[in-house]
Amino acid sequence: MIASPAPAASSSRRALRLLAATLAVYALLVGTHAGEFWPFSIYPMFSKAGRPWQRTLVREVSATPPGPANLVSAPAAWAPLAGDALPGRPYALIPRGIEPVDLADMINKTRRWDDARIGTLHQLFYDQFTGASAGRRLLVVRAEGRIASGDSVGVVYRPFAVVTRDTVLLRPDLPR
Amino acid sequence: MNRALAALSRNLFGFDRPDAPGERLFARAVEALVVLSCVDHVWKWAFYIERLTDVVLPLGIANYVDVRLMYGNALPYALAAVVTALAAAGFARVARWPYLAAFALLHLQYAARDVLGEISHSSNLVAMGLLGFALAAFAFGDERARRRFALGFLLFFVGFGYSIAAVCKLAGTGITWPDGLHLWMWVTEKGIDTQAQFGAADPNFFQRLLLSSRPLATVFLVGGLLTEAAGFLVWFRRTRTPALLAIAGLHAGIKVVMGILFLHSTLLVLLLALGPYAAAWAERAWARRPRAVSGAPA
Repeated sequence: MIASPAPAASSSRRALRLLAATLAVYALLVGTHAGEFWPFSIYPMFSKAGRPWQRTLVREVSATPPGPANLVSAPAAWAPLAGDALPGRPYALIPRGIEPVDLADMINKTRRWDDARIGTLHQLFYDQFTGASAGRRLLVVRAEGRIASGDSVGVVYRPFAVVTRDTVLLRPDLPR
Repeated sequence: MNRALAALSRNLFGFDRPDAPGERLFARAVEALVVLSCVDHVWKWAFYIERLTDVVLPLGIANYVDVRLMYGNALPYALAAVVTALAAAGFARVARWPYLAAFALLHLQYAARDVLGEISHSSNLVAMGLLGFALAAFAFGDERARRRFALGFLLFFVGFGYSIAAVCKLAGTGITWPDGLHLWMWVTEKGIDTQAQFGAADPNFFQRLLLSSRPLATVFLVGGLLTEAAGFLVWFRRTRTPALLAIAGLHAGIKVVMGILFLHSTLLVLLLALGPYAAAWAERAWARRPRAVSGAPA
């Protein structure tokens, strides 16, 4: 590398070479890493339009019937729900330091729910059960959207897990 | 040198141009924004890493290094402190290497933070800016050449990033990508995210408007796609400002309709668009400021 002032043509050649080298590294890294090697990216967000999606939201629920305390003994309680039939009350994640997109992607991209992965889910909520909130029960709900008949968007809500201070109760039909 | 490449170089770097009024001020403002954004990210990631125990989807260096060594200890905070010090040292021109070291450590922090499946792009642009300033420090000796390279490098990758995003959309979905029904899907999806984030989500005026008319939603998406596709116009001086303002407008539209805001990137794009004018104005105003006449009675 040269460390002295250079004439314009020389600087220009050096700049273009450096740009080309960066582009080559960029192409190599994104080409071998599914389009992402931060900060290099092919920026694929929203590139696959119209496909079904899954997101996640959280409800704070009661431990007494008919709340999800029954979920363990009554698998039917895990059945899909309409948006206006969700139990409990909304539990806002951002003010509590949790990024909902992380929760949604972690749930969507997990293929096998072994103990380590359940622990990962639990750890996301690690600071939600302190002090007076120790008895808090959080119901994680997966929202699934798709293009419905009549060119509209349909959403169903599936209870996914109940998280408490000491446990995570997953819906029973998940691969373990 | 090939004429097209020479023209690209003139437009991006302009090594043969005399210093424009306020250019130094503008370049330092861009550098400051890049550095502060990177520092902001590295600390936010440090705090979030406390929630993590496992890697669902490894990204970047996490494919080769077990980033779980960053979990359950103070390493992310130490790393954030080191990146902050390196960024400050780079800005103060203490040495040539601090920005490159900061960039490498920032990558490690990102790889430790984004492990749950989400691939965030909110920091890509500012990190490309940091890389530009890092490479400039090594490749060029004088300050003027350094700042011209760093700014040209950043402008190139701003244009490249948006244009390639448009190509991805056309490759991923095809010519039907801007169908308004797709926008309805995303608005509904982001409505769920908003509910999860804040506990409630009421569609705003623009969302209701676009959800009421598929053709209107289609027009919105066509506008967004064309703006992205035209990103490469940032490379050329004549089209740079309108292209950057269109990209800033695109981000404003995405915020209003989808609730997604890439704050640092949008600020950077706005600064790149308007900064040269603001800096030139500031320098002229500084030159015209009233000065005390020497020898005048106190």
